[in-house]
Amino acid sequence: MNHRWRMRTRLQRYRDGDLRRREQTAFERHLEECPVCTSALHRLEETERFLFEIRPEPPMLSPEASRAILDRALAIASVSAQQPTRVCLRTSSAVAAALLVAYASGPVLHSRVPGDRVSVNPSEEPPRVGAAEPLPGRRIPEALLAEVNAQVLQTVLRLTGHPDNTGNTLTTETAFRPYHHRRNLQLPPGIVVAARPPYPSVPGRVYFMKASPEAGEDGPLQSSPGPEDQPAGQQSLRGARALKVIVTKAEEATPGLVQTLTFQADEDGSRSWKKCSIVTDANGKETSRQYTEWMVKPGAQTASLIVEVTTDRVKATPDGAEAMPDSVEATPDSTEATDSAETSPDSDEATMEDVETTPDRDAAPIGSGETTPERVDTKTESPETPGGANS
Amino acid sequence: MRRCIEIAADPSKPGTHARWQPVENPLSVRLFPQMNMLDERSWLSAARLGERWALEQFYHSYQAQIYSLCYRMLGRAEDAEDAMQSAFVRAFQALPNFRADSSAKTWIYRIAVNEALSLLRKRKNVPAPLEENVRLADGAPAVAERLAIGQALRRVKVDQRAILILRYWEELSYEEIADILGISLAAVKMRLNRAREDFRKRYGDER
Repeated sequence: MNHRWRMRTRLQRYRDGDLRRREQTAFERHLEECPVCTSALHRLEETERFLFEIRPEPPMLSPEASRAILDRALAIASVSAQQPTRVCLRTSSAVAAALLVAYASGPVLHSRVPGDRVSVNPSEEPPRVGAAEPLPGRRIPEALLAEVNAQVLQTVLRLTGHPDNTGNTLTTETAFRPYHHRRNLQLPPGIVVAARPPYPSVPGRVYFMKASPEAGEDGPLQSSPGPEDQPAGQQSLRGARALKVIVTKAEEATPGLVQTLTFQADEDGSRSWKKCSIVTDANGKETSRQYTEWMVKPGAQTASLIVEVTTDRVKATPDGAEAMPDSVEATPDSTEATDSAETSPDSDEATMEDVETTPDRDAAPIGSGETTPERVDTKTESPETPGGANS
Repeated sequence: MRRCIEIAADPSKPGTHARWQPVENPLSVRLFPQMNMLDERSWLSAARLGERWALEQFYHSYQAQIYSLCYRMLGRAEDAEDAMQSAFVRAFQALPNFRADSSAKTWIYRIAVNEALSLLRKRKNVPAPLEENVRLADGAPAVAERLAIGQALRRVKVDQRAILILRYWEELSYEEIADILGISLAAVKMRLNRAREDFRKRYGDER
């Protein structure tokens, strides 16, 4: 018994492979000579085999049951059930019509994950919010903040590219506060009306928009100064519950092409990017416009391409033939995105409800004229004056 | 070269897996290479702040493992659901104080083990029998022997049963078990030895 007791630890270490090589060799030699230890080893192996073999596999927990447990746990834990962020975009009628017709014509690209929706009710007034101060003791998650900063920085660097913009506004010290941890808040009115005229107006300039709870719908919007209004980098966005960064760029290499990119981070952690490329002809008339919108909902951990629309305005030649504007083909991004629209696997699953965060005035109105389309592409629609921003 | 974007698994749909999907518009990938790369640190930070989406992420990350653990400890699906719910309630409430000394996994395991043990003790140490339609691993012993083994395991003290389950059914390492139970590595080995001895003794009684 004493022997067995002494060897028990060593037996287990041998079984776990914890013995050193020399110890292992010695113990194996001992096992050959000692029936007590050999028997104990067999017994241990058999016990472990028994235990492994009767391991039950749990029945499948249905998604509904799992969801119910989660909801109950959240309710019991008194975790605030934040309302889903409502992005009430005052979409210009022109863009809305464009999306409607584009949807109706079929191949508008929709690639969304079910359940990954942002509830939008354009007729519903967003509730007013109170003071913008954070709750005591709550702070911004640094990891998320850093990620957002990195994305914004990268976006701006990419689209603006010149030192005036890259050097002054977006540094890691810039106080972005897109996640303002208040409970039961929805997007403040300031965000909703962020795209009023004369915005965006100056190509090559970075615009920051933040909620202005005090301002209300008709109050002045807060935007950072442009590069010519130093020190833009000192502009604090502290207090914003949602952040919108709009970058406007006139493409020098491709005359007539203007790109606008909007980055938005909402308090529920969702982030979206919208890109609008507008091509104008020599007379400043718009020949094509392309929207691309991406969204990430952290809860679903899924990136969704929400909508991608290309509107081509093609002038008819005198003999009735139609020609694509050269500028469209000369724009790599435009053509790539158009290809993407045509190959969307989910395009026929689109519903109008899916077009919830339509490209709005944020992404619209550079160089938008009063042109009337002369042809509507099969998969596109020509917006009327897309200038919600200019109207 | 075709660019791809990672589409993460939809947690609401069991059986879905993360996949790479070709992206026809590489601009998006160039611009936002990290947009789908929220790692555990990101959502854990937000979960500690009570962000609902992050709490949901936390839940979906560990729900299957915790349910499996609770089921194996309690032997009945309804009890497992109750224990899992209690565990996540406690976790959600305690997350703001989670100091990340241990991993989130061992932390939620610890809570779940305590909840299951508490439920077992309320049942006066009488675990529910394993359900008859339970699926067992391939090559499981014959019915009579399986019943004897199961009966022996049920008669082992709950604390000892917990450590056996963690080791042999959840296949956790000694270090993870030590973290979960809040004891030293040596104590884990000692308790495991005792639990095995006890199980073996009761198994002998059953035969």
